[in-house]
Amino acid sequence: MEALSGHGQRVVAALVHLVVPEFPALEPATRRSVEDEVGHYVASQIAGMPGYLALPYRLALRIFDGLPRLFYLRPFVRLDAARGTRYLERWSNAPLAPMRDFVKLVRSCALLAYFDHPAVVAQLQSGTAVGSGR
Amino acid sequence: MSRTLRTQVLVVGSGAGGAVTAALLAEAGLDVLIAEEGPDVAPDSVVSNSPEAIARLYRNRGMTPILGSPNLAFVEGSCVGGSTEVNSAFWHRTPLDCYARWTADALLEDFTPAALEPCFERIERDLGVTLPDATALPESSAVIQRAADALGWECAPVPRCVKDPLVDPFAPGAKQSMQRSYVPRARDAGATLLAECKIVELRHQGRGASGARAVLAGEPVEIRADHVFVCCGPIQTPALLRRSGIRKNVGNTLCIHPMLKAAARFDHDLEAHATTLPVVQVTEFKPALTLGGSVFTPGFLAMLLAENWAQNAGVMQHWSQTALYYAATRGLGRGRVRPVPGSGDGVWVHYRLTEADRRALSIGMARLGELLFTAGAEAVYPGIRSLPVLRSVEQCRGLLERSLPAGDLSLSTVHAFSTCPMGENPDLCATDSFGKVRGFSNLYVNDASLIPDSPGVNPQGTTMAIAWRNAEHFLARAPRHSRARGAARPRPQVLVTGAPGWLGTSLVEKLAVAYPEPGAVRCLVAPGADPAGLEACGEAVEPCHGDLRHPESLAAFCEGADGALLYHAAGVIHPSWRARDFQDVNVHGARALFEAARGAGVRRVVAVSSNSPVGASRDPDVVFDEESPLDPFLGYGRSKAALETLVREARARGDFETVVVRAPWFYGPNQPPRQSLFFRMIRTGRFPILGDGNQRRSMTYIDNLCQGLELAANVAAADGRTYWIADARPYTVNEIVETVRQVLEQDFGLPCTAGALHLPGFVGDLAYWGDAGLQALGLYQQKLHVLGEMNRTIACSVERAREELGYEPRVALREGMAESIRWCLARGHAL
Repeated sequence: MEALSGHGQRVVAALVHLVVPEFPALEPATRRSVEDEVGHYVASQIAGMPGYLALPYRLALRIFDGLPRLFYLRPFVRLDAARGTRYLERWSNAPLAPMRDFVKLVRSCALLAYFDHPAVVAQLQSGTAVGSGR
Repeated sequence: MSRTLRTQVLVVGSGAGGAVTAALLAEAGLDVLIAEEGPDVAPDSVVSNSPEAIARLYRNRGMTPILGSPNLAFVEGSCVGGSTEVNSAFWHRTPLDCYARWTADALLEDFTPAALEPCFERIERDLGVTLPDATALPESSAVIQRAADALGWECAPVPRCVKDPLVDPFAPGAKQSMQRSYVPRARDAGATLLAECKIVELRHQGRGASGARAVLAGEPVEIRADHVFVCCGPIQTPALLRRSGIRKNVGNTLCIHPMLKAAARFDHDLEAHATTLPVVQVTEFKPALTLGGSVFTPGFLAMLLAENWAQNAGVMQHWSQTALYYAATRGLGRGRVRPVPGSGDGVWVHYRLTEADRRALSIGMARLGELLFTAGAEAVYPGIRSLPVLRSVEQCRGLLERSLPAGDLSLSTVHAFSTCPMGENPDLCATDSFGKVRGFSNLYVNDASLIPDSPGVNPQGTTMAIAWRNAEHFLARAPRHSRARGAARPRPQVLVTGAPGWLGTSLVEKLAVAYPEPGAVRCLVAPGADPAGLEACGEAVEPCHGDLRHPESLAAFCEGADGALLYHAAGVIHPSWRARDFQDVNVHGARALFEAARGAGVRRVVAVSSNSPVGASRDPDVVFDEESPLDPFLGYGRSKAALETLVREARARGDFETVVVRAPWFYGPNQPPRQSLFFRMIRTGRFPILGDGNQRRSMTYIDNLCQGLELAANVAAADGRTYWIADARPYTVNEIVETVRQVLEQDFGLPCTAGALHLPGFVGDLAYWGDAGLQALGLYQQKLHVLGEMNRTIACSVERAREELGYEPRVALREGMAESIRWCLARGHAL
């Protein structure tokens, strides 16, 4: 298993930040720590894919990050939250299945890792936190 | 240089098939080595279904898709215990309809409920298969049960492999996975478990598997085995076989149970996370469709909602009122498994979802929605992109009328099988009815790959019962040399190489009479050789798998042979194309063999040589004797001359007594197909006679040769001597051809075309130079080689053997040829 490059990890971290919901409410420090762990998990999952899929997926990460330069003159990792979310939704609802699948994989892995993270589970079970899904 | 491990039985994989196989074989006393690619993760050291468990226990961290339209998520375990470590421990016996269908389609033999009953009973007892208490169902299951009862649908708790029916199967220590049951049993019985040992490729030649090339903890390892069981599951088993060049009916018929999931939100807490796994199943629509509860964690719920996250994210706020359910179909499509070239161990899996599958999935979602709304669900969220939410039974029933668009389905499966179907149907099956791979004598598959098609239920029970049945079948027929570990190995009185070959088999048939004690005659069975003929010789004969090119196997062959005789009859006469084999086998192999024989204390070696060290003469009157100077005939002759030198050197060192027997052209029962071609060519008038046909050949019937070999072994004064063993006199080529023609016509009534293919003598010279040129390039062509000898005389005198050994050839040319032709006809050879 070959770990993602630094660039790949930054793209994944930026994606995870947008994908992970604000619910349940977490202390800012806890949230940062959870998001970091989720980001590492997603990056490891991508790296763990069979070779014949991991390579195209790494290429897709490059394309996903680079494409916004055409519209916003900056890569995805440097977009503000509003633009990043709009861009992400465009991929989520794209007519091309590979674009949708690209986002779906990151989103699925991120949501799994996030909602099964001990800190999040503890917060869910405490029943005190109510926020809005992003 | 890679390390080499030796075992009697190599079991590749430690899942439902491999663990059962290893346990049964080890408990029967065999030396078993289990090679498991995944890690040995202590049970309960990870939380089931957690992201950490997915990362550590699942193949590719759970990121293995089955490609198609749509792609399917597929997960399988990759750890000691295989998928039994990650599944839900559900247990189903093989549905009754499968027995008749598989018997009819795959032509499965002896596959009946009665035959499988003892296997199921035993395994169920071992695993503590129990039914959960129907009166104490978790709420996520109770709602389904109540709804099914209201609808009048058949619904019942599913048995599970847990010792305590009241305990959640995912509670620590509850599930009786392979790591808690058959793997420890195998180890207790002496099996060796190698975790993180990746089998890269199977080693095989002809009909025999000899082991595998592996990587253990990053280091290359060669594993030598008498028998190989491939039990890596429905994806990795066909991938390994195909990667190893075994492709007949392998990986072409993948079956799966495509599954759609949905989340259902109720108006009260289900606490699904507290029990993790619902335990009832709606069987009203079996075998086409089953409905039931799925593993629940908040993360799994979020994953399902990810399909329509923008619309459904808010459901997470009601996570405790929500549970996950599935609709699983039987799957009528077929898929393929292929190793990805150049990717090492990458595997490409493709499944074609049929229109019938789509219909079944649409109906499945309709029925599941109907069930859940009847159960009181407020909303149902299917894993379908174009259908974010269902809010009524009527909306669900609408799905009965149409097929859901394939591209919108978020499908998954955890059940795969049928990639190496077993049975006697040659067009479908990769193995026989008991898992033996077609064309092999000692290579088996024993996992879910064998299941002929979709059983419609969780396949773990069927897989384990089949593995049990096939392991017992193997043990009942295991060759005698697969003796119990720890049992004393019989001391051989005679060692024979080259059996089961032509000369070797004939010799062993006679030795088995002379040495009737069990295991008295030990034979080195080369990779690819079928020992069935030797086993037919009775208990006296012990086949021992090995290879002259692998010295470690020769030590095992010679083990305990203090004071024994060694007949070394193995050798390469006609390599498939590599001239280098002459040296590798005839010289280097013999050297290694003699070294092992010396170490074991062998008393005498009788080495079978040839006329080739002395060469061939252009003078038809020349008769070679033991004093004739060596003039090796090309590569084979040089290798046999080197063999004779090795023999002399061993004797000079005092390693053991030696006798060299030079055998010219021999013939008779157990002969290879090329001899049938000889008869066929004479019958059709196409046998080439070069020149005038008066060049002479010494020949000998195989019984005469065996007599000479036995005398060479037993006459004390023969030590250090060389003997020609042949018929009493040489024959001209014309005489040989005419004699065979007479026998064919007069004794067997087989009409022959008059004459022969007469060619000028220089054709033989051209063939000789062509042969020599090819061999100089490292290549070999059999027919060219034989033609190159055809215009020369190879005649010898047997006077020394007569005088010193008391040798007397009892079968002359005509009688011998008649026996030889009778043997061919009895075995259906086309003459």
